[in-house]
Amino acid sequence: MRIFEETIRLARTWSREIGVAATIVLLYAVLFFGGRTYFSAENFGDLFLANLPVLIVSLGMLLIILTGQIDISVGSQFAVCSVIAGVAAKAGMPVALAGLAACAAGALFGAIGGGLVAFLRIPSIVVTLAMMIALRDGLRWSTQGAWIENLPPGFQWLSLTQSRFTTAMAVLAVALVAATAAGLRYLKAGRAVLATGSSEAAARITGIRTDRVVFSVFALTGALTGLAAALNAMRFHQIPSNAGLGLEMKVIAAVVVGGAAITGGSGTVIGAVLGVILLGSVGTALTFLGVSAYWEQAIQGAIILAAVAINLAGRRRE
Amino acid sequence: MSHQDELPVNRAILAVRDLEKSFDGVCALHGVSLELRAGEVHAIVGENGAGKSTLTKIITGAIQADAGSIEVRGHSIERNDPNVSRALGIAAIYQQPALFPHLTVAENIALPMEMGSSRQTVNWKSRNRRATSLVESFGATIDPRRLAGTLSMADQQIVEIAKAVGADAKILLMDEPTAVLTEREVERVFALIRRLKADGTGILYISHRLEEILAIADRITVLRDGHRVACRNAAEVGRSELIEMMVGRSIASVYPKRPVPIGNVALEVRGLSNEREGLRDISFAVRAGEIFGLTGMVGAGRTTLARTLFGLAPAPSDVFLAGRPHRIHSPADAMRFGIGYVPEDRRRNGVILEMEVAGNISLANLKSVSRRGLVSARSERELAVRYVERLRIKTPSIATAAGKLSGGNQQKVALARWLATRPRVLILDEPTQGVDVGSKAEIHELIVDLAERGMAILLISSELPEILGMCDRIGVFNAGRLAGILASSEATQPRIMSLALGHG
Repeated sequence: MRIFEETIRLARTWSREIGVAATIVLLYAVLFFGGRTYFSAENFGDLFLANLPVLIVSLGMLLIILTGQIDISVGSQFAVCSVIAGVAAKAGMPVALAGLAACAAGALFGAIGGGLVAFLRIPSIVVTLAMMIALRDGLRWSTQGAWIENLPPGFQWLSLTQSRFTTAMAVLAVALVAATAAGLRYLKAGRAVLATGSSEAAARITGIRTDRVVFSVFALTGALTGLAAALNAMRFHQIPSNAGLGLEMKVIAAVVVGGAAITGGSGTVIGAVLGVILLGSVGTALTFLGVSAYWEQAIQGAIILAAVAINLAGRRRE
Repeated sequence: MSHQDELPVNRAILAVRDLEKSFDGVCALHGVSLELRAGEVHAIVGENGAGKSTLTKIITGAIQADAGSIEVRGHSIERNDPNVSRALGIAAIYQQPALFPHLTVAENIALPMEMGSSRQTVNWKSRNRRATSLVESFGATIDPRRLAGTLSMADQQIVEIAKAVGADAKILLMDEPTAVLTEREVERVFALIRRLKADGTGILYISHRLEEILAIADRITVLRDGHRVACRNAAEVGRSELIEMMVGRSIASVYPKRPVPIGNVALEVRGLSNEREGLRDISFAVRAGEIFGLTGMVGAGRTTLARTLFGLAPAPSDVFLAGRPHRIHSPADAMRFGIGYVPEDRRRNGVILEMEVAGNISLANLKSVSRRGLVSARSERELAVRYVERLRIKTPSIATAAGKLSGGNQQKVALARWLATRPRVLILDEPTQGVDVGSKAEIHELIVDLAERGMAILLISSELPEILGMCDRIGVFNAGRLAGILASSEATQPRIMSLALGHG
């Protein structure tokens, strides 16, 4: 009886995540009966690498959304960081250092945006809209639209084989996800993030420096964006100067589909990861099912609307 | 022999002396001194603007005094700020529980305790254990794993107190802690306050509800215009004496109700039900010139009835206005049929805080101030000026944002908006909640005046003295039904309470 009640309680607590997971299972069931070719290691590897940037950045975006803020400049940050990683590598830096440079640049962008939001109290949508435009057009001006080519050997795939690289990235992704989840749950700093988003006034009364919390999550997200950009650049032998177009929307959509409240305070890492998997699978799934790829965005939009509607209905009931 | 004798009841755990504070040259506190003893409930009363919130903010360190001293347990505080006061065991509890709605009860209680420690990780097991034992020691049962936002207001307030006690608070500042609670819930919080008293906690208690203060306080400090006018034992003062000290003048009769000629039936409902909202079989009639009180526990159906009559929660029943049946589907219908509604919680539903006074007043009357579909600034201004004068709304100008006015004047702005629609039936939902004593008397006077002019008034209130003092007849709600209607001559507090509790 107690176990039964406990199960119900857990199911209720995790209802949003369970809903997204069930949708994913359903999608893959359809795929399984629709076309077996989808289920190949190679296909999954490609799918994973293509969505890795979304996954990494969504961990940071989850933190930002949990504090009740938003960052729509991550796509532009991503483009700049990609180019920085490439330029650094071409300048003769070791690949690890080039990656670190991209992270540092991202952290700097995040810190600038976060600083304006946290300390000058400018709404985050305004600050990051400005950052989004300024970084994107600044990059276009400085590169004149040229791509970075002739990257040094050892940059692509980190001089690993593609499958080894994929495995390494999988390990990294799992570690990042676990670290974020554990940090949110067991670190005082993680609890401060949730507290700030749940009620900023109460957090301040409790002695939490909410401005520092907000600043930190923006800077951390910037660093994660830099990391994602560097790792993504390593998949190709040239780096486009317009990388990450629309990344911010994919990331925000994944976090929201994963059940996070856009108003802050509520949301989980598992949910965000499931959101990335669901939205990331839809596109290729359509191709395999023989549906025109033009439907992808429309279906993603429908998923987002459905997720938000279900979340709202659930919250009303509470 | 009694528990009290073992405690150092006479030692002050908090003493403030000669506090001075000015804002932009306006004096908010002038030489205010106050002592709080261990195991004492010390009430602070005063009209809005008397200096209560300035005083509490200085004690919690939210703002600094210009002069004067604060001593906690005999030690003088050099420079107070929220962290210093918290470390000294001072905690504040406000009107609206300041909890984290998305976090669990356990976490809400644990966070303030953990903020002081240097440990960077949290231990969920010990959090849950500690929260459970704290809440249980209050005689309450609240699952520590529940999200705070899903608790009732009273439970939230209890968690708020547990939070303070858990953080070792020995000095509690309670600012209108019962404002959002029902009477039964208030009793639960009072039981908890008595328990804390017995444990030697000192409580500074601020409230507009004088009945509550007289019931719970040991001593009462009265503030007026930044001065301390008196500090008295609660047992030695009465309600009217307190009011006199607060307003600095004697109010002849607290409620200005006058007998007025009662006219024809203005509004009647017969067997009105609103199943979806839990309202069942309501029948009553209100006549022109009559003040009909609606009381009962919060959630018993009073506000639901108002919302149903005003078309906000439409019901499939007819409402009889001046004898003719009407079906009210929307507020627009209600307004067309001559019903006005001043909702409770004026900051949320009543006035639009960012909008100027004139715009607020004309909002329900745009048609009457418009010509050919365009709002005429001049008619709008004239309308606003007329009502600002008539209701004696204290505002720098009609272009001032309504949010800048005091609570009582905001309420008058909300009233003005509906009076300007010239309703035949006016529904007032908690019109004096959170309003200072002076404005309250003015609003009462205004209600009586409206009745005298032949308006039928439905007055919803949780405050029994107000209901008893103002109404010709009183409808008492219990669990969605009208448990009884009492004429003012036969109504007493005990009778109303027993009807409201379902023992009628």
